[in-house]
Order: sequence, then structure tokens, then C-alpha cells
Amino acid sequence: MKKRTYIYKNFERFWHWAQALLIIFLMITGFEVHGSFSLMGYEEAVLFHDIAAWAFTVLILFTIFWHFATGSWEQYIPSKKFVKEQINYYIIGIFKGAHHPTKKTSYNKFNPLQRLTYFGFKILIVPVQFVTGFIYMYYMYPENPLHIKSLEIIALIHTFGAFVLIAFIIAHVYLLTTNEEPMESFIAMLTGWEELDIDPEEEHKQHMQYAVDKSTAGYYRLNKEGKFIDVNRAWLDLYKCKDKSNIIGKHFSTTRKKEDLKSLENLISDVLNGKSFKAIPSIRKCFDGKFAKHVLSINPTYENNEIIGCEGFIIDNPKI
Amino acid sequence: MKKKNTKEFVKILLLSVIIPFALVFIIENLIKNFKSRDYDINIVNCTKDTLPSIVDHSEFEILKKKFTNPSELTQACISCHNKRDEEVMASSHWTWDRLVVRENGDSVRMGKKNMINNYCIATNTNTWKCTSCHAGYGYKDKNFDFKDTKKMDCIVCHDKTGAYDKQPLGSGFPVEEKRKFGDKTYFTPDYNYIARNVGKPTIRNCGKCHFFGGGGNNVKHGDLSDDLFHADKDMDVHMDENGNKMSCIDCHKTNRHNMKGKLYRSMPINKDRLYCYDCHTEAPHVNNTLNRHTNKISCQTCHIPVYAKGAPTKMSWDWSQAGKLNKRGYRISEHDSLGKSTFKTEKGAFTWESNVIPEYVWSNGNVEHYIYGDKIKDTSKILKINKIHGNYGDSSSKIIPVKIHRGKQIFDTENSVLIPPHVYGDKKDAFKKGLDWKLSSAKGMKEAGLEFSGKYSFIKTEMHYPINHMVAPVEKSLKCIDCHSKNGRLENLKGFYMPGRDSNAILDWMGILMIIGALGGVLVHGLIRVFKK
Repeated sequence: MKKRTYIYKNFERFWHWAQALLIIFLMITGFEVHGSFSLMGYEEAVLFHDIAAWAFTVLILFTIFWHFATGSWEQYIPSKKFVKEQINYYIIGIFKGAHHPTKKTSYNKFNPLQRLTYFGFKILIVPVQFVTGFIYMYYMYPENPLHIKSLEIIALIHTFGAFVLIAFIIAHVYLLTTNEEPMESFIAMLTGWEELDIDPEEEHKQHMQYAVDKSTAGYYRLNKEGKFIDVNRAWLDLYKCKDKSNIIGKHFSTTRKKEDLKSLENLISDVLNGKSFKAIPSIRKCFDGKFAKHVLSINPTYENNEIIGCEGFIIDNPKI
Repeated sequence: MKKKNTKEFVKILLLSVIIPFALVFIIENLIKNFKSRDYDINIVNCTKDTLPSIVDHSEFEILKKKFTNPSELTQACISCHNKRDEEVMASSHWTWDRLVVRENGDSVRMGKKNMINNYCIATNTNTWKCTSCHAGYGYKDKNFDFKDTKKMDCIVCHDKTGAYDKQPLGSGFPVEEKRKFGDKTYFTPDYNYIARNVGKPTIRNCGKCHFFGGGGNNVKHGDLSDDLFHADKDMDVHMDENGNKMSCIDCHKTNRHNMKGKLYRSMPINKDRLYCYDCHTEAPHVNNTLNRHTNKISCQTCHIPVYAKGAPTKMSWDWSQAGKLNKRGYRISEHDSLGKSTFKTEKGAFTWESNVIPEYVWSNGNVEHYIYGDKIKDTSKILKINKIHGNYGDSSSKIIPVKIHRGKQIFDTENSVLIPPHVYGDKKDAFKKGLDWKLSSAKGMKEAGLEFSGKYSFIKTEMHYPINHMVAPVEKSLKCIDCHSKNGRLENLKGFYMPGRDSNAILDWMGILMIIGALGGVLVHGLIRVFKK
């Protein structure tokens, strides 16, 4: 089952594209400094590489904060589950038209290989580039606390990191196309929305919740003592009750005429013994003191096979 | 839902379009600013004495009497400026040497008296020829009395008229009557006129000797030529006649006749040096990356991209060819198109160059110089007459530009020492006259107090002259790429990693293979997917 889902938040997308641009820019300027080609001039290349490095640092700091503030960091923790299946998919399954072994959801966006790769990217490549880059920049600074004998090893690690990043980008871009709709993930990274396979069970639960919340039938739930635990919006409207707090914790007797209480108590004691009723015509006592008619349904609620109360719907019916 | 989707798309499209464009805009502007900005030069401790001279020397009675020789004028000077003679007599302009501690711990007085170079080789028996640039009169040989104040030459430095000249080959005396040397006529100086017009030394006073080291214009240093008498901005940004108008003593500040900035070629210890940052501060650039370079690179390295910008300088001198005669048995004298001597029977073969790109070495300011009697360790190798100490690992070392003068000169094969031959003279034992290496060596060695075995040969030698003058204007100074590139200026200065010049071939190939591997893998994977469908 497919459903359009919002999976990449605003900041996440901004971060992704800003990072992509910065890495590409750092790559161009960096390889000019390395002597691979001559484009904007050496002095400019160094200057802009330094500026971009600072911009990248700021972005990383914000991103680290964001990851922890939103709990998104959990999405990047590698797991062993389905790693084999994912590898098999890429080297065998994909050629046979098999389906992705893992499902993408808004709370589990990455397949196990993605988790592993992005985790490595964040925990290894970026920090190594960051540290070697800043040593590169400041090892010669007067009064620096670092006294390194030679730039060589630092420069070589930094260069190697750059090569790894290029390979990463190539693979990263290619793997976009392994989706059923090649451009889908790309567009998703721009808009935040993607068509995702979703769990029917989960969908069902969500929808039921929605149905109860938005229904025009009043919903109520009582505990064993006959006190209200929960009602929905429609219930409050039918009873002309302004606020939920006016009813929660009150006994059901406040909602009825005194004459009707006896039969209602019998009804509820039946329900608490396990019976259900389909359509009982009733007269309710609204909060403004007026009376109105409705039909109610009632059934027991369970927890660990024990009856803990009852619940049901009321439908307004003045014609009774 | 649909509406929200569109909104999101527009939002991120704007972000991802505007941000790159904004970036490009900012970067373009940065480049523009960066390239066109004015260079505000931050100067400290640089004051020029602009006060007019408050003393009118023309009113002093003692300067009105008739002087017949320069010595009388010197005495007149000292009669008022007493004690100044002691300062001058303690300075190297007079002593031509100074007390130093050598690397082996010896305390020696080192100077022209006992140093050997690979130009005219040594003063020694030839002193009378060299001392036309001594700040004194009559320094003919080692018997000169260095305590006689009457022999001091004040006006060579303090004459403001330009009418005072010491004659060549005259042991420091001006001519007594009109005389011609080569194509230049020397007149007897009007001492009274000169005495009325004395003052602080100008470029003219200093340059008269220092621009002609080695016996001719710009022969020795390479960065000191008579072009500096009338320099423009490109020749020297400080001495530019129409610009900064600085003279030698504006940098070579003098305290009681003791001048700052000794000859870097020969000073064994890093003392009394003169630094650009004395005035320019240690962070003179707008760009901090450049400022960081000053840890390892001297200012001169980038700011003196070429030397000998006008007159050519001598780059090599091969004494081993001296003595050659032509087929008819006459002496040979050859010149290049500029009139510079390229071969002379009595001197050997020379090469000259102008607009020379310096060579670069590490320097911590300490120099070891060859003096009489120093043993040559390995006579099969090139002998470094002066060794400039320093290396990358030494935190006080910086890269400096040098002129390397390459020579081939005579040495005693048995005693392994350089020979200071007797070159100039009228008798047969002077090489110029007799063309006999044995005779002239014997005479020179004896005078220098060295033992001569009678066996000699020629050894290749190198002399390093740090380049400090002819500073270029900022737009002509070196650009990053001049060194940060393969085949750049620092190509031969190994032992450290420099971005743009150095790379690890294995790592680069690994990286390239990794990229090719990634591209290839992606391509193969993709193709299989396409064909399997």
C-alpha cells in the first residue's frame, strides 16, 4: 500500500543541499590547492577553501544540535538486521526485479547499508576532514599549541578523505536510481514528500483514531465505577458541554433524569458482566439543563481479559 | 495535501536556487574586492629625519683654511667632532673585520683580511688594489696603522657634493692631480667646497663603493647596482626616486657609526640583523594565510622575485682557464654584446646575467665562511665557501633568496686549502703579469702565513649571497602559484611537504583508481540492470 508521506523536514533538506554544495565547492577548491588543475587561481582557491571550511563547520554544529534536539540521530545508528539481505538485493536481487528487502518509513528512513554508510560519513569522514583541515589551516599559526614536524601526513590524510568523498558522491547519486521511480528520492529530498509503502495495520489504527476523533457520533468511555474517562468532540457538542474537564471523572448519573437512573444502572451492571447492547433509546440531561433524545450503543472494555469498564457511541435522534 | 506539497517544493526550490546564486554572488564580490583592494601598508618605527641641518659648516673658521690633502680635512672634522673617530675606528668600515666565534669555538677576527671568495679570491698581497674602497687613506698592506686617526676618511661617506672620488688602485687616496683611469677622469677634490657641504650619507655615498663590489658595477652582490642611484618603482619600491625616496641609511639605521644590517654572506652569527618587519610588522598582509607564511618564509623570498634588474651581475668565474693565450701567443680578451668581459687571459672565463631568478635556501641567519687555512674536507666535491645554515625542522629558519656565484679556483692539493694567490703587481710573481700559478701561489701563501706544497689544482666552489635589495612593488611580487606548483621556484628545496608542489603518487593513484572504480562499478551495475530487464 502506497501513501505520500512527509519524511524530510525543512532543516534536514536545507542541511543536505547546503552540505552537498559545500562539499562540491570544497572539492573544487581543494583539488586546485592540491595542484590537480588551475581554475580560479591558487590564492583565491585557498581563501575560498578556508571560507567554505568555516561555513561547513557552522553547518555541522547546527546539524549536530538538530540531530540531538529532534532525536533524528537514532536513524543513523547502524544495525545488523537485514544487512545481508540488503547486500544480496544490490548484487543479485535488483537484477531479477526483486523488491527492496526493507521498507522506508518516516521513522526509519534508511536501509541498513545507508545507516552504515551515513554513520561512517558522519563519524569518520567528516571528523577526519574537519580535524586534518583545521590542522592544515593553523599548524603554522604563530603561538599555536600544535608543533607538528611535517604537514605531509596531515595533507595526505586530508587528500585521501577527499577522494573517498568523490567516490561516495558517485555511489550516492547512482543509488538514487535503484528506486522504482529513479527521480522519486531526488524530488523527495527537495520537497520532503515521498510515496512510501506503508503498513496496513498501522494505517488502520491511525484511521480508526481519526474516525473516532472526527465522528459526529458521540463517543464515551466509563470506568468500572461508572465515571467518565474519555469523550470525543461530538459527545461534548451533544451534551452542550463546553470543556472536557467538566465531565471527566464525573459519575454517569449527572447525565440523566433521576427517573431513568435505575434502568441505566441495571444496563451498565449487565455490560460490566460481559453483555453488549446495540441501540438503546435514551434521554440525556444536557449541561444547560435541557433534555434531548439519542440512541446509544454500549459494550464492555477489557484489559488482560478482565472487564475494566465500558464504552459506546451515542447518535442524536429527536424522533424517538 | 496537494497544496502543501507544492508549497514545500517551491520553498526548497527557492532555497536551493537562491542559496547557490547568493553564494556565487558573494564569492564573485569577494574575488573582486580581493583583487582590487588597496594595500594599506602598515608601517611602525619608521621615522625619517626631515629636520633641515641646523649647523652651517660654511661658517666654521677651521674649514675655511686651505686644505692640500684629505688627511688635513679629517683632522679638522675631528677637532670639533671629537670621539667620533673612535666610533669609526671601531666600525667595520675601518677595521674590515670583526671579532666572531666560529662554529668550532675559535674566537677570530674575520674579514677581508683572511676570507677567501671565488671572485678575485683574496685581498692578501693585493690589498692596495682593493682598498680604494677602504674608509681611510693608505691601506696598502698589512702594515697599515689602524690606530692613526689622520688616515681616516670622513668625507667619503659625508660628502654631499658628489665631487669627491677615491682613485682606483690608490689605496684609498683621491688623485693629487687630474688623472684618467679607463674612460673616467678623476679630478683633485676641492676640499674646502666639500667641507662646507657635509651631511648624512646619501645613496651616492654608499653606492660609490657598495654598488661596485668585485671591481665593477653589480659584479658581486647582484642586488646592488648603480641602477639604484636613480631607481624607479619597479627597480626598488623603497628607493623609488618618485615615490618613497628612501636612502640606504633609512633602513641601515646607524647608531654612533655602527650600522645595522651587516653583510649576511659572511656574518657567522645572527646578530645586528636588519629585518623588514622592523617597520612592516610581523603581520603585514591583509590575507592571514600570507601572514602565516612569514613563519617559514622571509619577506625577500616573495618580494624580490628577480635581482640584477638593470646591470648584469657576474654568475660564474672560472680561474682554471686563466693563462690561456691565443695561437699567436697573445693574451685574449673577449666580450659579450653588452661589453661585459667573458674571457681574459689573466683572469679566466666569466658569465653574466641580468634579471636573475634567485635560488632558494633555508637560513637561520648563521653562516660559516671559509678563511685562510680552513681544510677542504672533500676536494672532489663542490666547496661551499660560505654555508648558510638552516633547515625546515629548525623553527628559526626561513627560506631566503640567494645569488649563488659559482667559481673554479686554485687550491693546494697536498694541504687541501684554498690558495690566496698574488694577482696584482708589476713583478713576475703577480699572476696578472707572469701568468705563473706556482710563483703567484707561493708568494700569496707565504704572505698569508700558509704552507705551500707546490702542487695545485682547481676546485669548483659556490658562494651564497642572500638577496635583500631591489624589492619589487606588490603587484610584481611572487604569486602563490610560483612556488605552489610542480616545477615551481622551490622545486629543489626538498625535505618538507608543500601543497600544490608535493603529492604522494601512490595516494593520488589510489584516489584516481577509487574514482574510476566507483564510476566503473556504477556503470557495470547499471548496464546489467538495463539488460536484465
